[in-house]
Amino acid sequence: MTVSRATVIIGKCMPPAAELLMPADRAVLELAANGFPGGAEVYCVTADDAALHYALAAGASRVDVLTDLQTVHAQWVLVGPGSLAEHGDWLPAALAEQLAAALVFDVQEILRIDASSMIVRRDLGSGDRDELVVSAPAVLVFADQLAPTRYVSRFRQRAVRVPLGRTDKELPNPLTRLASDWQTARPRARSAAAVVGGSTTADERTNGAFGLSTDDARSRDSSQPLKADPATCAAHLVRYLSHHGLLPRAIRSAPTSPASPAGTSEQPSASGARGSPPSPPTPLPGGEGRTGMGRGPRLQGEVPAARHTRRPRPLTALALKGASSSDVARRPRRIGNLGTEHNRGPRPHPC
Amino acid sequence: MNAASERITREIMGNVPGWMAAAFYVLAFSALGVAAVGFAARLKKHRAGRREARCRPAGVSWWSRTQAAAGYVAFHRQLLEDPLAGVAHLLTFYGFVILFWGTCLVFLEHDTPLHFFYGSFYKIASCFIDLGGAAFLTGLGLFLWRRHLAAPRRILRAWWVAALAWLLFAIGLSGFMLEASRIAIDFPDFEIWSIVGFGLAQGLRLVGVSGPAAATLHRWTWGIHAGLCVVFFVLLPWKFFGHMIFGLASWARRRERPCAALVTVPLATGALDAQSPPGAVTWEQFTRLDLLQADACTTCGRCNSVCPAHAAGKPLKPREIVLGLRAAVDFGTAAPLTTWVEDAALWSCTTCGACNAVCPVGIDVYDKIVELRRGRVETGLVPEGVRQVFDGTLAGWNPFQRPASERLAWAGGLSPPIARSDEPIELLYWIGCAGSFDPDGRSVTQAMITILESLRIDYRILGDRERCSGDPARRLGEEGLFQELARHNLGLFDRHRVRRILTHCPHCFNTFRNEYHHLRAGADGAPAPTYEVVHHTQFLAEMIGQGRLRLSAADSGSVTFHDPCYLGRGNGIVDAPRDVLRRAGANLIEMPRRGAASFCCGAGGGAMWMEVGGRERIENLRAREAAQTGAATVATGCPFCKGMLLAGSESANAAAAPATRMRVRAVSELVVEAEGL
Repeated sequence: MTVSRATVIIGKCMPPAAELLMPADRAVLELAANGFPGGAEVYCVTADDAALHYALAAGASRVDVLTDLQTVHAQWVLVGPGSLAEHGDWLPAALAEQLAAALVFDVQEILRIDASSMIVRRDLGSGDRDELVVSAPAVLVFADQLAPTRYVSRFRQRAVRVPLGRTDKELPNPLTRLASDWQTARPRARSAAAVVGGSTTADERTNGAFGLSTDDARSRDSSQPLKADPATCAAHLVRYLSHHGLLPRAIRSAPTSPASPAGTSEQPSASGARGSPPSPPTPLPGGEGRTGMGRGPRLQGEVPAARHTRRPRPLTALALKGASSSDVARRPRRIGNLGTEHNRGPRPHPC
Repeated sequence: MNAASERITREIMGNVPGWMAAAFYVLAFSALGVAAVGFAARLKKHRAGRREARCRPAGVSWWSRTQAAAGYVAFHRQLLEDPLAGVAHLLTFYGFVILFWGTCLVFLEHDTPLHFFYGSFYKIASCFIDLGGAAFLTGLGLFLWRRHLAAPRRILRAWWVAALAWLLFAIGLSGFMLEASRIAIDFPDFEIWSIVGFGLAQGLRLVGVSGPAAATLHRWTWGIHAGLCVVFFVLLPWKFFGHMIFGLASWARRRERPCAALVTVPLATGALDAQSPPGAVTWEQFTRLDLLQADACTTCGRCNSVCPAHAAGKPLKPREIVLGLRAAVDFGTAAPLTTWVEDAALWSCTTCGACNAVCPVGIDVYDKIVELRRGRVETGLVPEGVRQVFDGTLAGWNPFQRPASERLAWAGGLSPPIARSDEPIELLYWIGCAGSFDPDGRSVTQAMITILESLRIDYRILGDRERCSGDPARRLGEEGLFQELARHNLGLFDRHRVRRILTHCPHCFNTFRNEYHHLRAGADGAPAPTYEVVHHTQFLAEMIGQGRLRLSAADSGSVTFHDPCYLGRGNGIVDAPRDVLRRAGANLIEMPRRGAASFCCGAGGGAMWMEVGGRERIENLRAREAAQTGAATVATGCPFCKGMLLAGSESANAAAAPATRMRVRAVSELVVEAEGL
């Protein structure tokens, strides 16, 4: 069986002692060591020697600080939740974009690894789970609650304490990177109901156009990612909506448009084509009808403890509506919002 | 010499056909050769183990150790703690020695130019040898009687143990029959000095066996006796027969150290690396001394009988740990020791040291358990509770998994003097983790602070710069974490030029006093510690002796003292706490298991933070024992013991009337109560 390559992204050690990785990151390292006999490459999002030495002791074939997403080349990217503290969910999203990979969140366990696919168990919240068949390439973001089962001793961590090349470089903010590759948005559609408080930022107009109203003024933050031609914008927005479970799982591709269909690895035009789009993760039999999880995206600087509890989505498919949607309580978390919106309640059943 | 004297002797092998004698010599020397090969093979396996740093203090020679071992064997001191077994072994041992001496005399007389075995010497030697034989058979008879008819629980019911004992008994019995049948041939009058043999010969004559019949019987018994002896020679290195050699070697090479101290693992010397980590996963990763000790085991089971985990019905049986190691050596494969020693047994151990203290051949049983735990840690196979202890210790510098910022939370309204950076400290009061984070331990700390303040002692504490002493990590097998913590704390002691450390926790006491300075060991061994360590009971006794602490000695009721393992048995401090309690007015009532024979509370060895299921809890057993004394208060000198006894006394107290419920207090708390501080 061909052994595929894997890369693991971990965060830094936990304060105050700064000697211990968070349990979930350690568990991801353990999964990588067990599932990939040749060892995985491990990147830490900060220059944390203790974290890198731990990774070496845990069986990594190579460790380094993640300063450039372009250096990540692997069929499988396992993202420890500790790494998301620095950049939020945008790190795995950017990696998925770059690798034209499927993106799966809240992975709890890797059940089987084949040459080009794996079966993973995913946490849907409130004790619910499903199992997915994921084809390579894929970026798997692991759940916060993961716990390691094997212990890596301090002696082993000390024994691999080789000098690591220190670098002052940091991983550039993927928002900035993405934004720099994208073009300014020039939305064509304009809905009177979507204009709130006179603000006319691009994402507000876009959100309004899709019936996702907001109630606070947005700053003219130039780091907003929704800057592209409308087709690209729509493609990414459909993915975003799908991620939040606002679209039924049955939709594999976005509505037809001159550009490529949504749900695929649509790349910004400046980046050029990246090959065939990845197929979305396929639920295993028994998982049909389940909608996406209620898990919100992790924002930059957000800590796991502050995240909201998830609730399962009802199974009814929703039609895309405009502002007449009664579900005003369910707003997607806005990118860059550090948690001011908390009203992520369950969708009222249409019946 | 005169003819009459010359007549007083016997013809050695006189009635034995030449071919039988020749066959015996061939077989006997072959058997001894097989035994030698067996011993050599065993020694080769011992040498496959790791080298260990010197196991005897500097200045102690091998000759003096050998003399000490010989003295130990000669007087059977430790064995006589079990009177029946001790007397039986004494008889068997000296009987065997005498018979062996007699065999040597016969060999010298028959096979060398020497000629001495006649006359008065012959009579006296014959009498002595017969008495030796009688002692030999009496001792073995006691063993066999106890094994088959009155066996205590600790007896190993293995067929080969009984078979070997019966083999020895048969050799002794056949030897007497041999002598009796020889005497019964012609009944020389001087053979009356062979008191047992002569008596048996009379018995043979009564049943009509004398003269030619006796001669025939003599040849048969000679052949049987010779054959049994050949079998004995072959089996010498096998199973518990080997303890005759290995037991003495084990005792002579035993590690000279306090019972509670573990031998330091040289992590920093480069001898260990990622390919050869600390701990034992296969048998070759044990030290040579450990492998020798495994062969020295006599399977007596005394370690099982004193083990608190075993008493509580947990899976641990210390003897089986040692025999599991021996079995792994026997098979000689690289199979992991998890095949021979189950995990649940390993993690049941409280490292109380009772097994080490009671072993008659000086086996360090719990050291092997800790070594196996180290192996499990290095392979990553530890229980969840153990991993949490390690993670908590690394994250907050304490095994209670509390934030480091809470280390001074015990202080409350007290204002203990915290040492400034680099301030020289004459007396450092080390609070420890139990005293900082455990509710039961905090009151001990507060009591001690109250005493120190009332005595106007100049002391300092380190406040939140304290880190765990590393005792739980070390006992659980995380040697790397222990050494990191130890080096940090040693750095603190050096920076503050600490002269004296006062601690109320016996675990910290033992670690600072007996283990820390070994991390600075060089080629000449470990330097002496740069500081003195004193337990709080010793300190209080000292203050009383100096007249600084005057206790009123008013009657403070009946008290029974629970000796913490790491204080009493581990470090020999038994009298100081009792002196303090008496001076505080306590009416001391002793528990049956006290002092060095104290029974563990169940918290040691990391057991405080994990639970291996058993029939019942260890602390309940000890609390019941304390309750049976009728004492109103159980005093102890350890915050862990206090917490465990409090938990254990809940069930005992639940059935008791409120006025008769047993209290649990530390010695320092009782002093504060007695003085109304």
